[in-house]
Amino acid sequence: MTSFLKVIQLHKNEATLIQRAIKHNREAQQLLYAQYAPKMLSVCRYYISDLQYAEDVMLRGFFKVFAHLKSFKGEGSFEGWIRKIMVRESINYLRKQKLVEFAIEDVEIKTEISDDTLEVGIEVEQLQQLIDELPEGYKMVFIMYAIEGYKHQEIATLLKISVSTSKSQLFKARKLLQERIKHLNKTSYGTN
Amino acid sequence: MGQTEFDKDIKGKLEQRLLKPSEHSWDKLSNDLKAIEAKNKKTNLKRMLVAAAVIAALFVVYFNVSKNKEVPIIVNVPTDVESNNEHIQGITKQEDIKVVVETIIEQTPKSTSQKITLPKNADKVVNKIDSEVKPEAIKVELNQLEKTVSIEDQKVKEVVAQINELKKLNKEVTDEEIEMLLLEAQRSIHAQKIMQQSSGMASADVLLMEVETELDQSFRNKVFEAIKSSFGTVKTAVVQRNN
Repeated sequence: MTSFLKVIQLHKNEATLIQRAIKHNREAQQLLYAQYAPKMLSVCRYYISDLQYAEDVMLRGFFKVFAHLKSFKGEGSFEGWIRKIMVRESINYLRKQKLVEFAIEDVEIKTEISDDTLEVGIEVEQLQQLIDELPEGYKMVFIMYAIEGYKHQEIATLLKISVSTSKSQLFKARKLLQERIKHLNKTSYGTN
Repeated sequence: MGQTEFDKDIKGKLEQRLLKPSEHSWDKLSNDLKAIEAKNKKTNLKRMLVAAAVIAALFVVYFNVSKNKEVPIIVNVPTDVESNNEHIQGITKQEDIKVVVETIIEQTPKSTSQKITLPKNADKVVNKIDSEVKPEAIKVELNQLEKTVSIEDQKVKEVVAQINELKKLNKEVTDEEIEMLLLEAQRSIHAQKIMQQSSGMASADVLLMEVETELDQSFRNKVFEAIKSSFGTVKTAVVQRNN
């Protein structure tokens, strides 16, 4: 009960902060930034290997957040709304850098999916490094699908690719990532 | 194909991570926000100035248009006024205005409401008539008109009596004799009218001019109507007597 009341209080505080931030209250904007920036920098970092560039992208995202705060209708969580903006900013950044290339050929997607679980011992930074090493196309589709929870149709629209390309990129990304994790585990812990 | 356990594990690991932004990241964002807000304020100010200028321009244009626009005036005027426009345009003095009023009263007792476009001078004259002609003056003019009408009636009676007398004496009355009687009566009426208008003083020139005028048709008609009715009365009396 106490935790439920805390959530209500937090939501009320957040709504008040948003209203003040809409009116260009700098203090409210700073509080919202302080609350969400660490999470959003991490989101941008999923896509962008360089932390400095990821931060620049995050700042551009927050700039848009505050500039268009009036358009936030309160439908869904505020964090989810900010997060979508960050994902789009990251995709735009990669597009501008011409780092994204999608293989045109569609591979045969096997219905058999390796459902290996992640080995317990792997660190977040190691995992991030493995994701960074994926081809940009694989990486984007994998993060959007596996971590952000987008559907293939949404990914296809956002990345301007076909649904089948999105599916094949995801399949390849998973396969490659699993192989590399296995390889990492072999070299680090001597398992398998 | 949904999220696999592998996907969920990776998501779980990555979601726990929080990355601290650099120390000056907020200052950088704050400066950018200040800049855009200042720019928006300037843009809004410019837009307001442009809007105010447009509104002012529209107001000036509307004011000028409404000022220059000629509004058609609806006035109650006699039917003949339109034909007398040229005459009205030249009238400026108060005496002339009195004459106009008299002419209007004499010529057309019927007034009709109709839309006419008067020239600018006519507007002034109409206003002048409204403001300067006093009701007392109009009353005097109307009294004179009534007197004139009563004189005409009296003369009609006189002429009919004279014709009846001639009938008794000569048994036959020629057209020339009737014409003579009518002319005499007409002259007499004109003379009395002139006397009334010039407060008892008759001008010789005016008298001469009036004598030269033709016999008024309305007066002629009145006389013939009177003779007809008297003839009808006599006829009825004769018929009743014979019965």
